[in-house]
Amino acid sequence: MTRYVERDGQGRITGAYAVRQPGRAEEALADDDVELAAFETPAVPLNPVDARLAADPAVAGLVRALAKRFAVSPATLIDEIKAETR
Amino acid sequence: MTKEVQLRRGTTAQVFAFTGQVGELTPDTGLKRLVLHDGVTAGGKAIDAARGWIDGLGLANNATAPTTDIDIGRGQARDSTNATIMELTAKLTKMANVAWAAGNNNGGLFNTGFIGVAARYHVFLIEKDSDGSIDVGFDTSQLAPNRPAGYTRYRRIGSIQTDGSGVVMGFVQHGDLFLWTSVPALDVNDAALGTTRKTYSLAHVPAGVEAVALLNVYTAGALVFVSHVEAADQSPSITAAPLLTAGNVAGVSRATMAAHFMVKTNTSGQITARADASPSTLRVAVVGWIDQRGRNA
Repeated sequence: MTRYVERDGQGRITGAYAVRQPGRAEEALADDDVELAAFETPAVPLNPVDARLAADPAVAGLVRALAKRFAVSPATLIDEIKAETR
Repeated sequence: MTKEVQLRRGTTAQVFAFTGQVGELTPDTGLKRLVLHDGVTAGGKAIDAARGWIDGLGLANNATAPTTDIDIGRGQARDSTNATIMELTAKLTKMANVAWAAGNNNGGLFNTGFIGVAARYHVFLIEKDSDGSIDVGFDTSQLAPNRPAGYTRYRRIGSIQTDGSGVVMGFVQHGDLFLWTSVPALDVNDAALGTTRKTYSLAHVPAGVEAVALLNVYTAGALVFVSHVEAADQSPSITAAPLLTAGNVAGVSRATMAAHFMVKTNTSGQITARADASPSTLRVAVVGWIDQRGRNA
């Protein structure tokens, strides 16, 4: 399937479309193009809570201790923390 | 004892030229309708279904050959000029990938050559001039210029599309509502939307006619207002009109998605969008569309 891409002044892809966008995105690329694929499926950013847990063993230990103290699973406690930090 | 009553009647041409008495009704035996006269106007006024009338004629992917064949349910519609009512009395199946030939289970493609890849076709009910027989076919133009000779009257009753492999995409229809059975690849994936409004052409809505697109929208980094191309260029806001279609509120990391958001497209299938910060990401997927199928044309 062809995608039509838009590029910025440095030549980087900034947009991809199912049909040509006149004057803006007229360059056709196959959907298996490496550069296009990298643009269309960027790495999903880690949730800030998950990122902090992964980066700081002390925080992860605190979560485990609190989960044990309140008799809930660490996963449940982490979900509650995420809900509180939205 | 019953009595049989016959009114003064005639062919379409005869009734068109006839000036009846005030309040007189004359049957038009050609178009099978009644005409009301006022004593002065030749041809009177036809008492007929409302302008733009359409009922039934639902489209569906054929169960046995869903990627090539389209089923057309029975129904009625006025032709594009509102001159007559065309009636399909039994379900038809037409092959979208084969050149048109009259009749059930035959080809339906008006355009010469092969069916297109990632192409949009309009579906037409057509009437044969010589005997009034009804058929259906597919044309890339909303005006059916490629329909077979001898079929003057037509009515657009919907649209279909092919994917990148040239097979007919799956859809379901409910009246004027058409929904993709599998939402196609993103129509818009723009990482550089800014505070200046941009116009986007959508691929997965009918071409050449206005429709109402049903969209799923995602944004990251800003508030985004998606609108029709005739709309004023307004900036999205969380406190004032027009508010927003989708967006992030400052300090909140989640993105907001608006399911089945509706926006009118123009005849080029276009919509517009504007963010309150630059650069912002806007992604748009077309879930389906609402199509008036020739009404108000």
